[in-house]
Amino acid sequence: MHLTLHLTARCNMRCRYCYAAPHLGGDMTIETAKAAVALAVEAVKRESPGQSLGIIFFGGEPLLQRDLIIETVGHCRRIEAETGQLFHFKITTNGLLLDEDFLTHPDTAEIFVALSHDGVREAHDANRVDLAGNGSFDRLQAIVDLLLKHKPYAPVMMVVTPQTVAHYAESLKFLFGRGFRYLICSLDYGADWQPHHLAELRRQYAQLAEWYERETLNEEKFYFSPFEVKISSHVYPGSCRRERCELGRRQISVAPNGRLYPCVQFVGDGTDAAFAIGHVETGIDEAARQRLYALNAAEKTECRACAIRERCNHYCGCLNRQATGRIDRVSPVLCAHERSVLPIGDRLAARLFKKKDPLFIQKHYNDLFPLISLVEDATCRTVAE
Amino acid sequence: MKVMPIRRYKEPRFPTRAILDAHPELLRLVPKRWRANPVVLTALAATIMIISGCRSVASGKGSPAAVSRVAPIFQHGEGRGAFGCQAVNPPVFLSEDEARQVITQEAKKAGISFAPDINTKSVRVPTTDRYESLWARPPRPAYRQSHRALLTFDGTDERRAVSYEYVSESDFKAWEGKHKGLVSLAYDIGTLDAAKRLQESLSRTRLTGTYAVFYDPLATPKENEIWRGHLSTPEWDARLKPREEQGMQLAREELRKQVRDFIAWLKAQGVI
Repeated sequence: MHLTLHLTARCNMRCRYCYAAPHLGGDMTIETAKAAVALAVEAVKRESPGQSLGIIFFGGEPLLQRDLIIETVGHCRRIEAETGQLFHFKITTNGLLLDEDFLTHPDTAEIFVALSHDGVREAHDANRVDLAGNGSFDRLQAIVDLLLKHKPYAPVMMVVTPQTVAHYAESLKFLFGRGFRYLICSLDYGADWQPHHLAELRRQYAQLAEWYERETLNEEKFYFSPFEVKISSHVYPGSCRRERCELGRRQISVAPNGRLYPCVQFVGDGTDAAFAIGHVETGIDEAARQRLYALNAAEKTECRACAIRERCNHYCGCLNRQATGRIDRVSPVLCAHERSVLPIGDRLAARLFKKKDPLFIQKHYNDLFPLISLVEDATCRTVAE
Repeated sequence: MKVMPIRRYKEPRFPTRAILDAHPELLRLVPKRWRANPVVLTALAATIMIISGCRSVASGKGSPAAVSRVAPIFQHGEGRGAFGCQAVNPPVFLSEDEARQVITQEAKKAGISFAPDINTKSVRVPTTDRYESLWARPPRPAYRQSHRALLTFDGTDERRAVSYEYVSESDFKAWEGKHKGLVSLAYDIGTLDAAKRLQESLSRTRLTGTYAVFYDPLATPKENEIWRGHLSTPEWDARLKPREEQGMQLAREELRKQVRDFIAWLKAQGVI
């Protein structure tokens, strides 16, 4: 289970596709954070005993609340020592406030850092701008070096919009060239996607499939989410369904004011009662939680006869809501995306399997690949040192 | 822009992970970099041993309990009905949710606890055709085909490794192929036929556990009124309501009988 703490609604950027705008809602207090942790610990005990509880620091920009992060981590570590409940931590940041101290200080060094970055300057600065409307690409250059120096496995989160889709492949290769190996890419599903944008998206995926094949044959280890997820959905039948969005079941988001939501995309300024599933002071409203889960889990009427529904992301209520305003109404953009990426990913995997590429086979058919890969990296580092 | 379901999708030309059952040696394909690293090779050898061991247990090698069993079709209800302009007294449909209630209720009495949608397998499902009856019988082979699809069984008791699939009207439509030839306003839905073909397909597939295929009985209510569904007025709708309820009652009863027979079969097989 994951607990996402929206430490603040404030942000030092004004990304044009941000679903959390207009950044009202204030800051979270340590009391709220502690109450939320207590609630989640109880939920883990009840629903998945023995599992580590993931605490995700989110915003706004969570690094604006650095002291609160340190206090919360310390609080969790004390619970860990007293009760044995394990914790792990993650932060999603725009990176502008990231520094050596945060990455190396004992209180924060263990936090897994995910950086938002949209790739080449043309794509990044088109949307990721500061309060004055200036792009943040240049300011991130040194920060990326610093981050990867201390955290070589840091994932990068990239958003593709209709305005930047023509730079998709170029941006991905740029981020790969900078040293990122975990490339998590998503569309801005709420944007105004037109047929010509989708045609461009298919062209970009075709280019990316060539790139993916080439780099895999070169024995480069990396994770590019759109292809990996689709390939895995065939290699492991049913994996898509098992790992699907469970709206509030596997994760709870906490607004700065303490209100609970089933996903980060519902939080906003913490005043929307329609999708709230409780409050840190009153606990989880199980009836609301189950109602939302059931609404989301029901098979969507329009997808019932679709041949790829078991491999599709249409069950993600959060994305559906972002695009259509309703969690049970599938986004046509998402549908178009899935129809585009699936055959390209399948053809790519078929080519690599036909070539019996060792890295492809290990990566997709060996459950313990991540572990072996870590062993390899560790031995390489030891040799280098 | 609209949501556009894909009617058919070609089976990908790379295998599922089940290939490791037949070809565990695939994992001996090692990237060049790993070959020069004795620590990695040791770790890999250990993982192959672990995986081979786990899979031989999971696939039944050395474990008499892990044998795949597919129950025969327990025929209760015609499982076929004509719809459209010429159908004077069409049967009623029992939805997936309504069927789930009946099946879980009945199974619970025998200590079987079905949880929905947790067992997915890549299997061949029958390619259905609602216009099949327009053709000479037996139907042309072209319409008796099957295609590979991911099938998420409607219910699974993980502890006992028992799963069931209920072939409903929506499954029939989801598995439908592209009809080449004449179409008509009248058509047939054949859930029993689809269930039989699915059962045969499951029997030919190497699966772990025990499986049942139930089907929508497509019960036809007694014809106490001339069916004039096309004259949809509030008065007619009100008069037809009891008819529909009577049909649903019949359908639930037929499905209940299918489940009871299955339970008896499970006992005979020593599964419960």
